[in-house]
Amino acid sequence: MKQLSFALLIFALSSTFNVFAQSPAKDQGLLEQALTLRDQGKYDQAFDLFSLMRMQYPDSSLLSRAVYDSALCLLYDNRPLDAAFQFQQVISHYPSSVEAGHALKMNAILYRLYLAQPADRKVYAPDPAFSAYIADLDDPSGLSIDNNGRIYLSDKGKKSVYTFDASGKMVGNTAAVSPYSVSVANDGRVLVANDSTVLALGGDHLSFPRIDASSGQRKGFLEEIRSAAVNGNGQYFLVSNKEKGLAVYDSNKTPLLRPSIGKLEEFSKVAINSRGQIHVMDKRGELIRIYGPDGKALFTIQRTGKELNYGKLEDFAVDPANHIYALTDNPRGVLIFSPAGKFLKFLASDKKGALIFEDARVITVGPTGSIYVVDKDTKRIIKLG
Amino acid sequence: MKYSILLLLMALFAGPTGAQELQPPGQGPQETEIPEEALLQTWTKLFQDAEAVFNSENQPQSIPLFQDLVNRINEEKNKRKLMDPEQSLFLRSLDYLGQGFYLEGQQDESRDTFLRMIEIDPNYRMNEELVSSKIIDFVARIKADNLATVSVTSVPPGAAVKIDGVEVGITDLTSVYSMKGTHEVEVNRSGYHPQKQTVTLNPGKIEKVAFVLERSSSVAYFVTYPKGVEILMAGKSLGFTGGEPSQRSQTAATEQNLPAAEFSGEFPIPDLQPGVYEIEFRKPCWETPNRKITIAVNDDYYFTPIVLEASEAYISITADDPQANIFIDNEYKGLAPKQSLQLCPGKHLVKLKGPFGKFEKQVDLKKGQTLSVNAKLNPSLSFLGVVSFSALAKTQLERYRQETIKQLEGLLTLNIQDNSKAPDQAAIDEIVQELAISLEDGLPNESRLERIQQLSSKVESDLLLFGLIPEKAEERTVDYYLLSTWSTQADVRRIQSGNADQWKLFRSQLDYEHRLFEKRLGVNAIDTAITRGPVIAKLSLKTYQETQPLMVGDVITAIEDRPVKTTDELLAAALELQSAESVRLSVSRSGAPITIPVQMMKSAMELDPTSPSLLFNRELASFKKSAGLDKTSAQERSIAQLNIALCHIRLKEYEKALEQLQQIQLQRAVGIGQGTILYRMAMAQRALGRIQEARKSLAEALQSTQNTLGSDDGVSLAIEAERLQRTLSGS
Repeated sequence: MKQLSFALLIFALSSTFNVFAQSPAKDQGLLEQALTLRDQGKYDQAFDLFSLMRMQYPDSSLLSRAVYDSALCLLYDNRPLDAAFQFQQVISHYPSSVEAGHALKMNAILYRLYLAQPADRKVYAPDPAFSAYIADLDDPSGLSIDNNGRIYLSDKGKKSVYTFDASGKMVGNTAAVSPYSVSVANDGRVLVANDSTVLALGGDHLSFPRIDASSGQRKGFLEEIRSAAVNGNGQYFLVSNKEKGLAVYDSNKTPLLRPSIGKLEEFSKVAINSRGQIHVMDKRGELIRIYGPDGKALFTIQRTGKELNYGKLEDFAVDPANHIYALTDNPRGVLIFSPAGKFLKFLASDKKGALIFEDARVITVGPTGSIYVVDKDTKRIIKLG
Repeated sequence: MKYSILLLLMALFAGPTGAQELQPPGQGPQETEIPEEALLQTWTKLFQDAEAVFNSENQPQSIPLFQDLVNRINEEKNKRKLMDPEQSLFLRSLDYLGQGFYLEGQQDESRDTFLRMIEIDPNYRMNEELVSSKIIDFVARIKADNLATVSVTSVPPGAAVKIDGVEVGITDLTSVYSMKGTHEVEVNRSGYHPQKQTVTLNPGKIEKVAFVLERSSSVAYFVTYPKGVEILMAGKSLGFTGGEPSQRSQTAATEQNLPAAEFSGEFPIPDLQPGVYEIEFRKPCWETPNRKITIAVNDDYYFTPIVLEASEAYISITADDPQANIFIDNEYKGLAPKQSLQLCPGKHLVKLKGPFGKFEKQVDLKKGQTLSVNAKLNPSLSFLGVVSFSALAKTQLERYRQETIKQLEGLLTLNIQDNSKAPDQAAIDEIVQELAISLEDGLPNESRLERIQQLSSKVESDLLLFGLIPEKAEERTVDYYLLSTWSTQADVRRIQSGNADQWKLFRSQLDYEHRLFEKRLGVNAIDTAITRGPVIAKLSLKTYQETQPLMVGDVITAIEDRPVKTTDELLAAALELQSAESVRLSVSRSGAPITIPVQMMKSAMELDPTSPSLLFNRELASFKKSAGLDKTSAQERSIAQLNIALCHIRLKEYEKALEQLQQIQLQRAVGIGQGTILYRMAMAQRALGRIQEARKSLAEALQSTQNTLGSDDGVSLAIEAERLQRTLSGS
């Protein structure tokens, strides 16, 4: 009898017992449910589900991600300080996770923008360890940086795309027909807007069909491409000097109709942030419009005539926490805005301020919030912070 | 006569009665009596009956009764030497029997009986006050016809004398009665050759026997202070000193101003041949000197009295549990605290046992030392072994078992009990296996709790640990289940055999005890990828002076000159500085180094129910103890109950959590307070699906606007409660 019951016991256990992978599908399901809510802007409910996941599946291998994503909820909900504490939980509780590394970088950005004393010049002081000099710099047209700190600079005049390592040492130089801008996609590809094509650095030249505005029919290929970006779904967002509005394509380069995105405006640059929000700068350098991933207009950054007053926007960049950095010529410096478009601070490039550039045309922001600008006068990339 | 018999009977009964008192319950007296005692009891009863008849009107009827008794005793006497009480009963019986015959006119039988009595003990005296003078004269005449007197002397005196093998005294003996006829007289004294002489005695005559003893060996004599000293020679115990103090003892006592009564009598060490001997004197709690003696020629040696010096040590014991029972070397000493318990110097095992834990420490006391032991009673963790449901070799399981025992050694806050080799291990294994299956659903189960408590009671431990070889996992891994007597759920940790880092982490988690209160720096810091240390992100408590403020954005680089690189290092360092009144924080402000004095503030502490590094059953043991101690303040008890509730929340035991929370009244306006309790109640109510109740709790919680979560310098309750309110509205 005892043997029989023990045999049954073994059978029951062998068929159902699994300690750590407690319903793996369930914790994965809960995570996805929470992410969906977050993408829908239901941050409280998403955060609640992430918290529930931590309680329900304390041994889940997905927890570091859940806590990190719950911190993003707070960030997207415009609670940067709460987000910083939540990122800290990732760092303390899951120190060896990939997310802990990301959290440290996120907190670096939040520290620079929200915690550092206004008088603290060190936060955006030029990094003496970084040195990137381009002897024959001619017409810098685009600057971008990937997750590893590798920097890409396009020079329209020299028809080149330069690559620098994290210390500023030039490690590559790729010829391009007419490189108007460079950007790094989520999948790691470096895209160069190369007039009639988009050059994937180290890869193919991509051509995109043009849709005739009046007939709605395909007609040749998009020309005079000035800026290109790719979102998390692989969709392409292109700015053409010959077309108004923003041209959008799916991952197969099939045109998508996005009538709401600046149909009547002429843009010079497009960028996609980590939430898939679309940022476009108008050709005259007066404003930056931000649209949701669905194309819905969210807000616009433009002169207010009061605290926010500038001559022209030269370029803009978005950091991993979705803050917006706009390079201005008059006054010379960098305007920084929250992900919701709230003005946060202005870093002036003058003798009193921290910045030391004279003729900057392009800007990008690194993973920890360091600002990179290319100063045509000194033929250098300057790393601030 | 009656009086003497009564005394005899009292003496006879004293033995068996005493023996009964020492018997364990449930055992009858006959189970432990030896046959001689049983016989003596029977004979005594027969004697009492016969004596009663002798003293009644039916006196003649006592004769057969005494005859029967005399025969019985005589029969036994032929088999063995009688004990003193038996001998005495025998003589008394012959005494009565002889009187009986005499009173019935049977003088021949009477003479034979009395003669037999005299033969057995020539010195036996009848009670002349109770026995008729005729009988006394009759017996005297028998003695005169049959007894002679012998005197035995020796040079030197003090030799034991035996006549026909029966000890009769110590020389010099002036007069000893003996039966007429030929006898062998033997003398014996330590250190002398024994001697014998044969003498022929004539009735009514005195025979003198003299011996001159010849030396054969030496005798060493010792007296000790105090009595009861064990004397050893060549490591062999010769016995313990005792007896009445000798003259030498009296002299030594006077000379050394010590109580004479505590000196021993002479302790002889006989049969010593010339040579050197080392003698040891041992008595617990006394200095134990050795003495080297030299025997030159055979003689009696009276050595200087051995005066031992008292050697004492003291131990004072306090405990964090007033219900702790103290045991020293497994001897109960009473409830803690105890001041200056006197002990012998040397190693002792100090144990304290209380309802919430145990304490065990080996101490080594030096002479005159007073050791203070502040016992923190730790919960016991019983390791039940490693089980497997697959066909794993026993040797492998044994290897895992041994590894576990080795790795758990040296835990600081738990008493490890190894029950993995208990005699009823098979039964324990079976329960463990049942529990392992039952725990698989991850849900609370009250019937499981009964099983856990049953097991817990069996091994007398509130915390249980067992290992299970997982079915689907990489090789050489064991899942360790930690259970407690208060929860139906387990904490589980997977450890790869031989992985030192994993074991280190597990040990630290087992040792960790969440504090109910902590001194806090009052800052909330974050780590970043670009700063040398943690950055102050929020100032929650005013722990600094207005003139030297801390500021948001300050980068903390050191605390009390101890460098810190991360927030966790900062918190750990602050924990180690709990006894400090104030600490110095080194910060970098806009790149400039500054030192800020900080007065740390005591804060109530909640454990983080989402923490992956806590073992919640382990923490329950600590909190249960804190909540249950008599000396715990109402506030401490409330914080302990709050943390018990948080453990239950993590373990999905929401009803248990609510039960705890509903008992708490924590009127603290700032920090952890009643608002915190209500928020936690809302969490539990929500998990139970009682949304309306949860909303009500949250609404009440929001009235305590300055309450926090986590710690007094933790997250704002208002923000979290509002968020949860919004979520509940959404749901």
